[in-house]
Amino acid sequence: MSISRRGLLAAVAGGCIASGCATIPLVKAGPYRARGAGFAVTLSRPWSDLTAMSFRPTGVRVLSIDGVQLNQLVIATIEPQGALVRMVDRDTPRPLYRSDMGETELVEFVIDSLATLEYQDPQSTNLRPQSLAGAPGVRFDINTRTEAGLNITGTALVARAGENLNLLMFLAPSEHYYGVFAQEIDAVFASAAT
Amino acid sequence: MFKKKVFALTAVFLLFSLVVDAADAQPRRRTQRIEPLPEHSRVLVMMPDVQLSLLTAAGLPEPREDWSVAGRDNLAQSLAALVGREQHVPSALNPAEAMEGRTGQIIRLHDVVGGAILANRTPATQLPTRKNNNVWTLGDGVQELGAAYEADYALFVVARGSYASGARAAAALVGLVAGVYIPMGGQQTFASLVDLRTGQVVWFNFVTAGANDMREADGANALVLELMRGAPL
Amino acid sequence: MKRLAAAMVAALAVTTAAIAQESVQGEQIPPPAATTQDYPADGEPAQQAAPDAIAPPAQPAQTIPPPSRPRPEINTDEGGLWGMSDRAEQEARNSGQLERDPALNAYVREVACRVASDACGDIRLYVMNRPYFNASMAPNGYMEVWSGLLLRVEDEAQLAFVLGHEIGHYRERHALAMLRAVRGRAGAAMVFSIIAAGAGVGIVGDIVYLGTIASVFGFSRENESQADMLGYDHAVAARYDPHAGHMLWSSLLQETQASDNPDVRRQETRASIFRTHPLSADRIEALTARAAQATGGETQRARYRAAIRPFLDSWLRSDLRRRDYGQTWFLLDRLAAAGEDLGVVEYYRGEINRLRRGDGDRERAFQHYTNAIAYPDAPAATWRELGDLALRDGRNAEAVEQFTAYLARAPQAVDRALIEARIQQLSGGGQ
Repeated sequence: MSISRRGLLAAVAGGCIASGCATIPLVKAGPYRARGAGFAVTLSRPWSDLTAMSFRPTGVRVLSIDGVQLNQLVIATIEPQGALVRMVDRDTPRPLYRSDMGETELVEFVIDSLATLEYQDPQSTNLRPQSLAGAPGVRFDINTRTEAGLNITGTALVARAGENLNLLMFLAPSEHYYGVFAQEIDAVFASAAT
Repeated sequence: MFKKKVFALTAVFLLFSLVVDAADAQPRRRTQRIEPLPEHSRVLVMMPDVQLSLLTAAGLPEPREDWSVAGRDNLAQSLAALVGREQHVPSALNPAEAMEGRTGQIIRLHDVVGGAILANRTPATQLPTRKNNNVWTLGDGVQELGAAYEADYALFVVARGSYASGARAAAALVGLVAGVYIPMGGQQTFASLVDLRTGQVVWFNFVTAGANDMREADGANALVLELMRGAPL
Repeated sequence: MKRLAAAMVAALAVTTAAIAQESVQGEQIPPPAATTQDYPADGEPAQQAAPDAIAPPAQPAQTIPPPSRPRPEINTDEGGLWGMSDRAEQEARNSGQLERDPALNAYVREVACRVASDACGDIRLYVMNRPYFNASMAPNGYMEVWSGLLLRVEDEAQLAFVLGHEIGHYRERHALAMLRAVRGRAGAAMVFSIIAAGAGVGIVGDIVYLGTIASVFGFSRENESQADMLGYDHAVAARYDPHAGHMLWSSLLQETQASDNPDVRRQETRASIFRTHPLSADRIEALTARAAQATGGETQRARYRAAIRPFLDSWLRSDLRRRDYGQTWFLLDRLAAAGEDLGVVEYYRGEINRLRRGDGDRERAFQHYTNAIAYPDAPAATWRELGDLALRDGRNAEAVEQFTAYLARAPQAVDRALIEARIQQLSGGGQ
C-alpha cells in the first residue's frame, strides 16, 4: 500500500470530516518556512500542502504539485525520539530519530521509515557530504518501488541542527516525473537556510 | 461493541461517499478544446478493466464474474467499433500481459496519473496547484509502448461498480423512509486517451453509468457513447 | 488501474476477504481420507480454463500435472470468487513485492507439490517479500507465501505443514463456505467488523489490500482446525516430521510473547501481527496429540536452511525495519539454535543493540559485532559498525582500521564517499 492511496482515501475519509471539507492549502512561490521547521527553503513555484491528509507526525510537511504519487516534497524538522511516519497507535514500533545518530544511521532512519510506508525494498545510493542550511549533513539518492511495482526515484538531505534533525526529501516515479523535477529540487535543497 | 458498530457504519458510509463524491464532481467536467486525432490513427484499445458485483441486502458486494466478463467484452467491442467508425485503426492489448519492462512502468504510471486526475475532480482532494491545469502527461517513455504495439494512441478504460439486488432496493426504500442513506449501487467508468508520441493524456472522462447497463451489448454501446462523448476521435 | 480501483471500489473489495488465510484454533479431526471426495468434479474438463487465465512466472514446466479441479461456471458464486482471485493474482504477479529468485521459487513450489499430492497442478505459487508470517491459497489455486513466513519456519517439515494447511483450505473450499456464510444476516455484522478492524488499523485504504482483508476475515474455528489436520495428514503422508505443526504454532505463540509491543503481547493468543483469529492452545494440543501417535518422518532442516540461506541477510533487515526488537531477537535465537549462520545472526544481534540504545546496549553491540567477524558469513557492514563504535569511544586508529576493512570487503558500498572522507579526516587532521 503506497501512501498515495492512503492519502487519497484519508483525504475523503479523515481530512474531509476533520476539516469540514476544507480545501487544500497552497504554498506560494518564494521563501517558505513550514510550521515547526527549523529552516526555510525557497520554492520556485507554488506547491499544494497535503500534510493534513498525509497521516504524518507533527513537524513533517508534505508538499506536492500533481499529487503525492507523482511528486512529493517532504520538509521536516524532527525532535529526538520523533518519527518521520505516523503509526496506528502509540505502541506500534517505528523508526525513531535519536540525537546521537551517526551519518549512516540518519540515512538508515529515512530508508527504514520509507519501508514502514510500504515502499518496497528501499535502497540508499550515492551517500555524500552536503550541508543543509549551513549545517554539515548527508545527501543521498533513493531507489524503491510502490507496492504496485512502479519504480520510484528519490533524493534526500539530512543534517542535525542542535538536537533536532532537519530533513528534505523528494520522491517521484522514475518514469518521467523524477527527471522533470531533479534540477528544481536540487535548487530547493540548496536554498535551505535558517 | 455498540461503539465499534457505529464507527463501522461511519466507515461504510465514508467508503460509499467516496464514490458519490467522485460522481458529484462529474458535472464540473470541463469542455476541453482538443484537436481531433489525425485520420487513420492507430489506436491501441487497452482491454477494459471491469469488475462488477451484486450489492446484496446486507450491503456486501458479491463479485459476479459473469457480469464482469460480459461488461468487459461488451465495452471492448463497443470501443473498438467506435474507433473503427471514426476511420481509425483499432488494436487491442490486455495491459495485464504487458507489465514487464518499461511498458509495464508506463501502464503503472498511467494508473497513478489516472488516480490523480480522478482525485483532482473531487472537490475535497483538488490540488490548488492543479486548479486550472488539465494537462496531464506520462512522459515520452510512452513511445516505447507505441513502438512495441505499433500504435499512435492508447485508450484506457476502467469500470467499477455494483448492481443492487432486489432485496437491497427494498431496503433502500425502507431506509429512505427512516432517513438512512443506503447506497443503491452504481457503476463508475473512467476513460483516457494517451498520445503515444508525447505522453500527453489528450482527453479523459469519468461517468457514472446511469441507465446504461454494460452487461448488455446495447447498454455497453450507449455507455461507450456517453463515456466517449467529446473524445477527439 | 489499481489506484482507480482503490478509489472506486473500496467497498467491493471487501469480498476478496474470502481468500484463504491461515489462522488459527481448533479441535475437530475429520477423517482425512474423505477430503478430496467431498466435491466431485461437475462435468467440465479441467483444461477449460478461462481465456484470460493467468500463466504464473518461473514455474518449472516439466512436472506440472493438470489442475484437479475444473474452473467453475462464471455465473455462480464460486465463479465470482475465482474472478476476484484472478485479479488478486494478477496484482501479485505485477507487485513490487514479488520475489523472482528462480531457485527459491522452485524450492518452495517443490515442497508445496509434495504436500499437495494430486492437487499439485492446481497451485500457482508466488513468494512475496513481506516481513510477516503469512501464506494463503485462493480458490483459483493462486498461492502466496511471504518471506516473513519462510524466515520463521525452521525446517522443510514445518513449511510442508503450513502449506498443507493452506492447501487444506483450498481442498475443502473454505473460502466459498465463508462467502456463503457471509451472505446472510450474519454477513452484515461481519462486514462491519471487517471494516471496523480495518479502520482500527488506522488506514482506511488498507481495507482494499487483499492480505489485510484476508487476515482480518480469516476462516471459522472449525475450518482452521480442519485445515490443521489436513496439513498434518498430507505432510506426514509425504514423510515429513509429524511434530512440525505443533512446534511451528507453539513458536509463533512464543514470538508473540516476545514482542516489544504490549498490544501484540496482550493478544497472547494471536499467532502473528495481522492475525485476528486466536491460535488457541487446543489447536496446538490437537496437533500434539496426533503427532504423539506417529513415528518417523523427517524435518529436512539442513536442506531447508540451505534454500533460505542466501536470503537471511535481506529478510532479517526487513524484519528489523519493523523495529520490534523483542520479536527479531527471538527469531535470531531460533536461527542460531543449530549453530549455523552465526556471522549474520551475531551481526543482527549487534544491530538490535545498536538501534535500541538501552542501558548497556552499546557494549553488547560491540560484543556481538566482534563475535560476528569471527565467522566467514559476517556482513561487510559489521566492520563499519565496529569502526563507528571505535570512533565514538575515541579509538581513532582502530576506527580507521575497521573502516578500511569495511571498504576492502565492500568496495562498491553506497556510502564509500562518506567513509573515505571519514578515514581521511581521522588519519589526516584528526590524530
